[in-house]
Parts: sequence; C-alpha cells; structure tokens
Amino acid sequence: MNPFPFTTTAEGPVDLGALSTIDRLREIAAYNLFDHDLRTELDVICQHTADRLSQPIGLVTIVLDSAQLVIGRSGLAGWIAATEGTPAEWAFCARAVIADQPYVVPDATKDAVQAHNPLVVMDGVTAYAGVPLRSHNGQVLGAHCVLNDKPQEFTAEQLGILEEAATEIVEVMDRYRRVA
Amino acid sequence: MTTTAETGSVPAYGFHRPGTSEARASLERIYGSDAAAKWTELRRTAGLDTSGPLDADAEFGRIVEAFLKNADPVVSLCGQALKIRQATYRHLSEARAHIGGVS
Repeated sequence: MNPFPFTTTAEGPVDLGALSTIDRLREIAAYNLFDHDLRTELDVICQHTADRLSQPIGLVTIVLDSAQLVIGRSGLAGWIAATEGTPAEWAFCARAVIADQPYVVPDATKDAVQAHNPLVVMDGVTAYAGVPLRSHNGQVLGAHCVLNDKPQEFTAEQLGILEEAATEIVEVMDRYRRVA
Repeated sequence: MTTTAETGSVPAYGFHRPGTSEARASLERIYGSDAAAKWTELRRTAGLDTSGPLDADAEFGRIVEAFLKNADPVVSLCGQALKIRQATYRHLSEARAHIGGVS
C-alpha cells in the first residue's frame, strides 16, 4: 500500500515517492539528527530567522521518506511539537525538497495546492516560506521555513534571509556528521 | 499481502491508522526487489512469524521498533518516519476523543 503515490496540484503532479531515493536517505543518515547540542543550535537559528522575518514560527525540517522530522524549532506548539513532525503528504517542506527550490505560499486558504491540507484546515497554517537544505554532496535533506497563521507576502529580501540561514544550518549540521 | 486490513482513521484529517502494510510499502519504495529480504529480517527481529499474516494494529509497534533498531541507518530513518506517522495518528485520535468526537 502506498499512502501517497501522487498528489495532483495546480503546478502538476508531485511524486512524493521521490522522497524515497536511497542516495538522499543515505545522506540524511550520515547526520546525527538526534544530538541534543545540534538541536539546541538549530533552535537558536530558528528563533533568529523568525525574529528577522517577524514570523511566529521558524523550523528546520528533515524530510524523510514518509514523514518530515522537525529538528529545530521556534514558536511551535501543539501536536506537531509533541510528535516532532508530520506525515510527508501534509508537509509544505516536502515540496521545497522535491523541487529543490524555495516554496512560498502567501495564503494557503486560497492556494489551489494547499487549501485542503489538514495543516491549513485543522491547524491554521496560513502562510509558508521555505528553502531547501542542501548537503555538500548535493542532496536535499529538508528545509528551513517560517510559518504564520495569517496571510503574508514574502519579499525577495526575506527569502534571501532564509537562504543565508539555510547555509548556516547545513554548516552546523556538518559538525554533527557521523560519516564523511 | 501479508497483513490483515487496517482499521481506524481520523476523518477530519483524512488520516488512517498506519499499519504493517504501510511499513512494508516504505521498504519497497526504497529498496525495490531487496525489500522482501529486509522485511523478513525485520519480522524476525520483531519476534514475529516470518511468513504468516500479521495483525496490522497489534504488530505495528513491534515492527516500528525493529526498524528503529536495524543496523542499516536508512531502515532506521524509515522507522523514524513510521514512528511520526504512528504518533500523529495517536495524537489526533486522542484529541478528537477529548473534544467528544465519535469513532
């Protein structure tokens, strides 16, 4: 049973099965994602990004094959904080990973792709901006993002701040690699 | 298919209780033809019969633990994803119970 073979969007079908490529998952496995000090450092970066972009929530996520894992966070509460992730089929960050480019949703309630996402309908996620986290081996591990419960227009300058922070995040993660 | 039908869902989220067939599908997406051998290994680690049908609900937790403990770090990551899906189901179904939802 494949719970998410394809999701059709206004931008065309997105194959979430692309998250299951063995080379990408091996690269993710090279990092010690559960190191307490790593998590603490990433939380600080999330707080910094959220403050600079005046957004209530900042996250670092690693997009696994069927779920996203939150490894850094600021302002996150509720069940997603408790579970440290969400199913991949709801993850905005999965789209940034699959496309390997920034993904921005100014108002998810009016977005053809996201309007029926349970995170939008049930949990109130309204605005999203995220950029991919690329390892030095060229694999896309996850995303750095900000969320808001109100509509937001994100500027090129704000996306630049996210990109800068994403670079810093990968540099921090590299200090916690188990495998070269 | 070696599992019984999985039951249970959180209708408001359109999310079904994850089960052993979902776990096996994860392996198949990643490992293709090598998935069968890994699945047998994981069932053995979980202390489950390696050939008979599985009770999806009852055995899922043991299978997830076997994924997490596997020497292959990719299988372990796959287990982490299944654990998040399991926790998502648990949290959302409990929350629904707290607000008086019907099953």
